[in-house]
Amino acid sequence: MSTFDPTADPMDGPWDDVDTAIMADIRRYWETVDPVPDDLVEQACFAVQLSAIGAEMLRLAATEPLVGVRSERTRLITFAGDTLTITINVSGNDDRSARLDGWLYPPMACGIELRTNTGTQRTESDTEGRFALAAVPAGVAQIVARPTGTDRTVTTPAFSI
Amino acid sequence: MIAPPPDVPVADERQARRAALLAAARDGSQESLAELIADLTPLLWQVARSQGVDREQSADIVQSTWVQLLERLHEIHTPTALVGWLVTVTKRDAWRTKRSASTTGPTDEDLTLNQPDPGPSPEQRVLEAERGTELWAALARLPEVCQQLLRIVAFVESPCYAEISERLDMKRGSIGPTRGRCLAQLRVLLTVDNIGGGR
Repeated sequence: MSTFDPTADPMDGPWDDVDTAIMADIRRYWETVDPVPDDLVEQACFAVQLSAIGAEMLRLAATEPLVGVRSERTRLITFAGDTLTITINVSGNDDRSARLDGWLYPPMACGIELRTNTGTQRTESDTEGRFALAAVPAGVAQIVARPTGTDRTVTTPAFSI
Repeated sequence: MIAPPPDVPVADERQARRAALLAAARDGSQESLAELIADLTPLLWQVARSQGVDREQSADIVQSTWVQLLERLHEIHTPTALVGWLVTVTKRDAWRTKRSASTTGPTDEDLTLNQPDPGPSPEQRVLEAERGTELWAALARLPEVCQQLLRIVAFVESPCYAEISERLDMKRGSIGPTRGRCLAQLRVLLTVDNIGGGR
């Protein structure tokens, strides 16, 4: 409970036009030198659609571009959670799609879905935890893993292909 | 001091809009939630980045904050509370990330304003950065807490200041930095810099 004094700026005293202008300048400055990544809003919107189901979402643990490969879209991303880690290698195909090779740790057979804006692809990991999707369309994507024999659902965050 | 705490007046149209979106999102409207995400992600981005977390981790933190909101949506009833909750969760997560990465990860330089990331729209950025040089120079001379505070508050509308200051542990009347004090300091620096130069 706090009192409210409409004549005062709640953060510390009144502020004038110069303050307003400076704050606007500061905002513009940061928008310019450290802009929000282009696809972040889309990724967040994508992620909230799925998680209504109550899935466990892994977190980004590491991402590294692979040096010396022909496509700059090639990279290795690791998503980690309490009980499962998913590593994916994304490599650009000649069209705008990408090949996706994945590994689960601990290794396990698992139903794998890849959600994209244009639909869902399904595959399964083998007992060593490996899975692959040959052509994932460019855009935002998200992996949903359903470990066999459980009713758990684990997802990666949304990421961009 | 005397007045009973009335509801903070929703002077801002944006706040009214947010209130409507929040109510609709609670009722399950994906479009409304998407609009809130588009509206408030820039603020959360700056909150995460101001804690010294790199761009990729910051994106992960912001996305995760929005996902966590889904479980709490039914408890949050005002746009001010929404902004406060989002900022708190983002900041806490950024702190945690920063701490666990600090042994191997980014240096403390990331924490201060020294290292703007490279990114898209280069030409416009150069122009803006040049125009902002004077402001930049003054900002960089502020204490780090002030730099962080002003960076975040610059992305917040006035009805939310009180909430934000509390969430950032910078309560009104406390000894620590406040938006007013930091801004006053900045203005002094800008005035001093302007002598003999000007923009």
